[in-house]
Amino acid sequence: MNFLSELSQLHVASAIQKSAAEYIRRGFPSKQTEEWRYTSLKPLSEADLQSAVSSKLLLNTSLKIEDLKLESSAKYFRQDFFDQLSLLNPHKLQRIEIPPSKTEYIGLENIIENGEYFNSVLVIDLMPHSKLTLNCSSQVSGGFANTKIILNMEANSQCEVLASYKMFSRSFAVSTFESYQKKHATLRFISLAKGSDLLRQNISCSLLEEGASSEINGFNLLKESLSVDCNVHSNHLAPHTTSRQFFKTILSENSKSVFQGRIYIEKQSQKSDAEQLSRSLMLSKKCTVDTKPQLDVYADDVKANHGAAIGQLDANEMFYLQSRGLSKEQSLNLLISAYGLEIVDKLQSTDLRKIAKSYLSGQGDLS
Amino acid sequence: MLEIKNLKAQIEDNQILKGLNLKVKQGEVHAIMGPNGSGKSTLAKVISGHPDYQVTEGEVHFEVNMKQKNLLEMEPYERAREGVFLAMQYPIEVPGVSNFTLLYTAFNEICKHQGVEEMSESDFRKFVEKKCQIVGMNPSFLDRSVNEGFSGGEKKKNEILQLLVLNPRVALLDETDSGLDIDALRVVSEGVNKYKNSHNAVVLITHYQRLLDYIEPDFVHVLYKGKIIKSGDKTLALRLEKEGYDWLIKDIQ
Ligand SMILES: Nc1ncnc2c1ncn2[C@@H]1O[C@H](COP(=O)(O)OP(=O)(O)O)[C@@H](O)[C@H]1O
Ligand SMILES: [Mg+2]
Repeated sequence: MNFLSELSQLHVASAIQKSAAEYIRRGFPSKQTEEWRYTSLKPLSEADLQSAVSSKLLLNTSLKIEDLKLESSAKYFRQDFFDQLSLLNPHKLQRIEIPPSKTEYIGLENIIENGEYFNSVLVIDLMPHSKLTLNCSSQVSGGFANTKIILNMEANSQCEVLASYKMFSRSFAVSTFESYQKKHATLRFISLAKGSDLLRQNISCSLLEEGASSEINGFNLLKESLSVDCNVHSNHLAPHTTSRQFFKTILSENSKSVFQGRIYIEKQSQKSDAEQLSRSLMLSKKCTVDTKPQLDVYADDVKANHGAAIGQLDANEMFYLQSRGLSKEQSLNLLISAYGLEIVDKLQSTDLRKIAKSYLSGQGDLS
Repeated sequence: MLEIKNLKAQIEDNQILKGLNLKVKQGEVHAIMGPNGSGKSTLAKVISGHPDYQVTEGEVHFEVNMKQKNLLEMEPYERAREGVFLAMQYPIEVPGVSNFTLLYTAFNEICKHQGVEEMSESDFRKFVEKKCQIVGMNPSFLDRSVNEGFSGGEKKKNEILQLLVLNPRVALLDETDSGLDIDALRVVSEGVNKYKNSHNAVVLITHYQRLLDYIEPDFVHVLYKGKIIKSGDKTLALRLEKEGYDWLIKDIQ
């Protein structure tokens, strides 16, 4: 039995949940939907999954965690299949506030096991001049995780996020991050993913006021017949805003990667500066890469660049390492880590960098 | 120790080595000279197993502890673990892989293969830092990416550092002297002389007598159009320095 049929038997009380139930009943988004053009959700729609217990999400923080009421949280859910799914059956719906001028750390661990699915929404409000280091790790083995994190960033707040994913076979994840950034609020986001049947990332930064900046970086290491589908949106909604998107992917065997990066610069957002770059390394001839950059620029005095490159492993580098006595596998693993290191090195927090480096060096640990 | 018989090799259907013979014994230093494009680098890369080259004929034997090994049947890393080392004419940059990681991994793999005890990371660092001194390299280079952003001279010194650390049975040095100023040349030569002993062997590929002033060869060979056309002692190099290759090349045409 697929898990949507289980959901249809769910008792829904409120009006917003009723409308969510109706939305879900229409079924999964198909490839006809522009946003899902490159990725099929059929395997997920056919998976046999049951609602997980809420302890699947562990929060490590000294701050107060507030449980949100559904009625007052409607604004956090968009007209999107997976958002509506969370709304219909939220396992966790929480809020944390980072007090003004405070420096805080939040660790978030999501472990989903065989046969379960889990929906969660976490809202983090960063007060002015606050600083947050956020370490989100997801591990999915044979289940489905649908998580959403919303960062409301007040003026001059700073946030650095490490989102790491370990996806074992027959696993699915839809991971959504949304930031809303006021004056001079800065976000640095590093995503590291390996494995996965399907990992869909929706990362959207709204730069609402002058001086806001976002930097979204990702490194994906894909094997077997796995795919990662990254959707990254930088929305420049005010003048003098800056955004960067930089994704690197290594593909082997039959893996598949999709990168849909959008830069949107509104008419009044003059002097904005946006860049997007995606690079892929193909280790086999059977893997595929789809890159779709989208530049919607309505202001005339801005910088907006994008680039995409697909390459192969450098045979001379491989030979050089082997000629020193490293096996093929050792050489390959070093070069793979080296490729991801450029992304990891963007992290400023030494703690996050340490975690990220050990993630990189443990690259064979999914089998 | 190293015996090459009738070696023929090609790259993309270009025959480059056309029946080359060379015998190198323990404790010997051989210099290979010859005009550009003769196939000197090709020879060095074929011995170390570069995948771009196909061997169409011939044999390369390597003797280790009285046992004969056919190098041509081995992967590049297996050759390295048996003790073949190539200092490249153009050392490769490997961004994101530190010199230390490369050296430490390689060193322990070679130890494992040869049945010698491996070293702990901290002992190894001390050991390598001593070797850095020999080639005048600041130990901070160890934590930088392999050859990335190194000057030409630093790259060559780095190759010699690797030679000193990995201590192979045979060292093939491909134009390690080219592009070096006099001071760097002296440092590099001293490094090679520290490495050299009666149990190993050195094959120097060079254009210049000046390197041979520092590292004295037992034999000098001239490689031309894929074959060794003349062999002699160190006086041959002196004559080449004075007269060039014309007198030799004329003879064979
Ligand atoms: N990748 C390649 N493809 C085709 N020909 C090559 C390639 N590399 C080298 N050669 C040719 O092989 C010959 C020998 O080159 P090389 O061994 O580098 O000479 P040397 O080191 O003696 O100067 C030259 O004629 C050169 O042009
Ligand atoms: Mg050469």
